[in-house]
Amino acid sequence: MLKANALGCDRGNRELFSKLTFELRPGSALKISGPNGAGKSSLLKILAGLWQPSVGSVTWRGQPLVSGDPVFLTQLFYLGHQPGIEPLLTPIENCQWQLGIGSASAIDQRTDKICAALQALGLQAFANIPCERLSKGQCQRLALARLWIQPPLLWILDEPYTGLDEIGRDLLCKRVLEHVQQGGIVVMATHQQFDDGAILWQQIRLETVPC
Amino acid sequence: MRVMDVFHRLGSPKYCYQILGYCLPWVSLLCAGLMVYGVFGGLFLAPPDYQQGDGFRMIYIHVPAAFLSLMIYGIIFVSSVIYVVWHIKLADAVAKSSALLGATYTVIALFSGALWGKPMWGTWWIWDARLTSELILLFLYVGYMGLRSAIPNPKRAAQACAILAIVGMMDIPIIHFSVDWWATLHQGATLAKFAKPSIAPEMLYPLLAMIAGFGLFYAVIVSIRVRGDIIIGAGKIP
Amino acid sequence: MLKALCCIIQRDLRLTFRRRGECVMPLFFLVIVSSLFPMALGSDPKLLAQLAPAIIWVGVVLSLLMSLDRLFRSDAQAGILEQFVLSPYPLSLLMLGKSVAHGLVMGVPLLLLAPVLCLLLQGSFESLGVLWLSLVLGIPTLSLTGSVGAALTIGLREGGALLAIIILPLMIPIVIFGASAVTAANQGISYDSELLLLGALLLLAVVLGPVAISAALRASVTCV
Repeated sequence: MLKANALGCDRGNRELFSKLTFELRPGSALKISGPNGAGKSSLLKILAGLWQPSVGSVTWRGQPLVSGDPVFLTQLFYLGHQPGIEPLLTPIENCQWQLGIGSASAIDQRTDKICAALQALGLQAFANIPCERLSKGQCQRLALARLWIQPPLLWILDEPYTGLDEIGRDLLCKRVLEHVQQGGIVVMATHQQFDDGAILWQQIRLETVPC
Repeated sequence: MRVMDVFHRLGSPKYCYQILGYCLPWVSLLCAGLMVYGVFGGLFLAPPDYQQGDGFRMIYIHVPAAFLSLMIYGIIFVSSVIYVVWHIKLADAVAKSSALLGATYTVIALFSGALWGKPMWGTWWIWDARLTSELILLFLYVGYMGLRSAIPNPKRAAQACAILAIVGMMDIPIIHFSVDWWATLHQGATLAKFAKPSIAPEMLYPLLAMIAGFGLFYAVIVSIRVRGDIIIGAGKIP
Repeated sequence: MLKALCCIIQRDLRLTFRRRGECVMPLFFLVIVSSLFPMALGSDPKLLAQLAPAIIWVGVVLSLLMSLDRLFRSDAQAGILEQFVLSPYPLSLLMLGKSVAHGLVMGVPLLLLAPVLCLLLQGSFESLGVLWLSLVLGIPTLSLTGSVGAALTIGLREGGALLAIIILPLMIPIVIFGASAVTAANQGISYDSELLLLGALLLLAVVLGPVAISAALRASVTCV
């Protein structure tokens, strides 16, 4: 479904990676690892359609990825380095606007659904406090809240475990497992080692080339 | 199809480098010749104007500079459209290289307009439609160059400046209309007319030669800078 | 689509109310700038009355510039712009929503301030209606035009000054027509054409502005 054909990326004068080809079908998961600066975030941004690759192309259901294609974007959840949370708004308000401009139906945007998701993430007690007063880990959990309310088909997550404590990590691991078993696709850049053999992860390791 | 082929191949840096290199000496010679004729004709061959005497000769600097300053912005606009639609890097190189020269021509136009104005109307500056539009054009150029130099990422700079040039160009007719309207509102009858409705051939030909000369000078400078950009981009001489 | 538009407007309005202090600053800036002119020109009421429309309009432009500088800054820092770009709804729709919110947040207080400024600058209250109308037509146009510049200069160090250099030339027509309308009203001559032209510029800005803003935002967010 998601196919990368001979992807290459140049950043500045450095070539980050080249001739990267892989395919992800429903129910598959890809883990991208590598040292800092190897190009993991760049690869994820290219897969999400945020950046254009220098060489090669990405196709979704056989069609080349066009920036701004609503059909693709309704099926995408992307989490970058920053959580994408407004510090001055409460968790409920943040979820409301994220769902409002995302692909959620009106039912999924209801406050009770949002509260249920916050409860699953352990943020129920902080639901009406501005996010600037939450800890980094709590903000990271909030950034993932959409995955509990209305999860799209394709998840692209850049270091999602940053700042999460053990409980948070468990929650996310379980959620990812559920999603893949239900036929979703997960692409993740992480240093986290997985103990569960329940998902067969495809692995890509990017290396930096010494100058 | 041959014309489209040439256009497509011009997008390739190597071909462009060679073509420009071949044409440069001839274009430079032509430019020099036209400007020599224009200056000589403007200063000596053209008879003095019956109204303005010898003072009108500033037309040979002012009009080419003003005309070309607007035309260069038009070229920047077209290059920006080509860059945004087809992502041809050379189009961005042309736009980038043109901006400084366009701004310089605008400054020359303003300066020569001021120098012309002093003997003609007794004042160094006059807020008439033409000069005010020229001044706003200078601001647009400065904004373009400022944005280009402020963005460190070259691709983002190219895309952002292209958008700015397109927005600016679409605004130029609006600005021109509003400034004209404002000038008639506030100036009334004291308008400066730089170009005469009918102009004698001895005056006209040097003027056309100067316009062509300024234009070819622009072409020479941009070609040299684009060739330099091609070398930098390729890391070697193609 | 309308829901997404309302969602963005609601979000921006909520944010503005939480940041009340920041949003009031451009308004005080307007009052201070308008007060500078009598300090510089002397307190001759006739002179001030003649210059009042121009001073108010220039002050409005400058205070809008101040607020535009902040328009995308907090969103850029929190990584929210990427979420905008990745929304399935057209980016121009979201940007239209942002501009509407910005226009409301700046426009309503500026309209309320206009009589105060008229008072300070010895302007005539008879033409207050025309001043309001010109501001109602002009402020959204200025906001949309300025947002293009704000989107182009996201995250740049020289942000503020560069923004001013880029967008002030584009705002000149609006200032010309706006100030002329009020001056004409002061002199008792017809101001219809100026207001109609302002309306035309507003329509043009509403149609083309969000497209330009979204193109500029994409350039800032998605270029490698």
